[in-house]
Amino acid sequence: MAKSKVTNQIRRLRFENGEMTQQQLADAAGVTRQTIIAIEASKYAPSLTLAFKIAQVFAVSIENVFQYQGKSF
Amino acid sequence: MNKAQKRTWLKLAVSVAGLLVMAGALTMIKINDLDMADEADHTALRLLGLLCTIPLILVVILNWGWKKIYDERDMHIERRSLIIGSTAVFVFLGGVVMILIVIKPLGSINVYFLPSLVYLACFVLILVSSVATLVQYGWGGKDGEK
Repeated sequence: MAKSKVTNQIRRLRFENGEMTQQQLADAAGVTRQTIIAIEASKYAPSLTLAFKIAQVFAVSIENVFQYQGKSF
Repeated sequence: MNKAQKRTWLKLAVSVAGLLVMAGALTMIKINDLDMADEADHTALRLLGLLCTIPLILVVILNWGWKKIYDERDMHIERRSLIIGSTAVFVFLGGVVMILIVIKPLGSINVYFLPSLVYLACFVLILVSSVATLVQYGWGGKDGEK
């Protein structure tokens, strides 16, 4: 299956924020650990709401967490 | 394996069991040459119909309160699986109609054929959507990607 075009810095941000575990991030964002795993592996592109929630957990802007790898216009 | 996957495996097992029960029921009807006009046979057919309904009731119970345990990715996968399952049902029904036209272009079919077809369509829906769900979980899926 093709990977999502949305990449992310979640793994790096987790380690920079007191070595947060995937479960801790999942609990803070209100999703399951499997969803966080899928997002980190770029196998799932989160909804806008979830993307903002994750950015809020790390106290950074959403562009610092997620990047789009598609064509630029 | 998360709760959604466990629930899907159960639904898959129930749908396979339901298909086997259906196959057994249809075989019994054929072997015993059950007839709707006969009262005893009519009762037997009702019981067989009830037996085939039990797996469907189990699936409804399994789906009860599903929103409480699902997150957005689970719901996305479930929605896509339902679309795939519905498509499979259409293909199945279309295939059955075409076969009937070829085999019996001017003939008639038994009266218990239609309820059997409805049950089979339900089991096809549950089976195909369960497999689609498990495949998406296992392979990661293209969720969120158009």
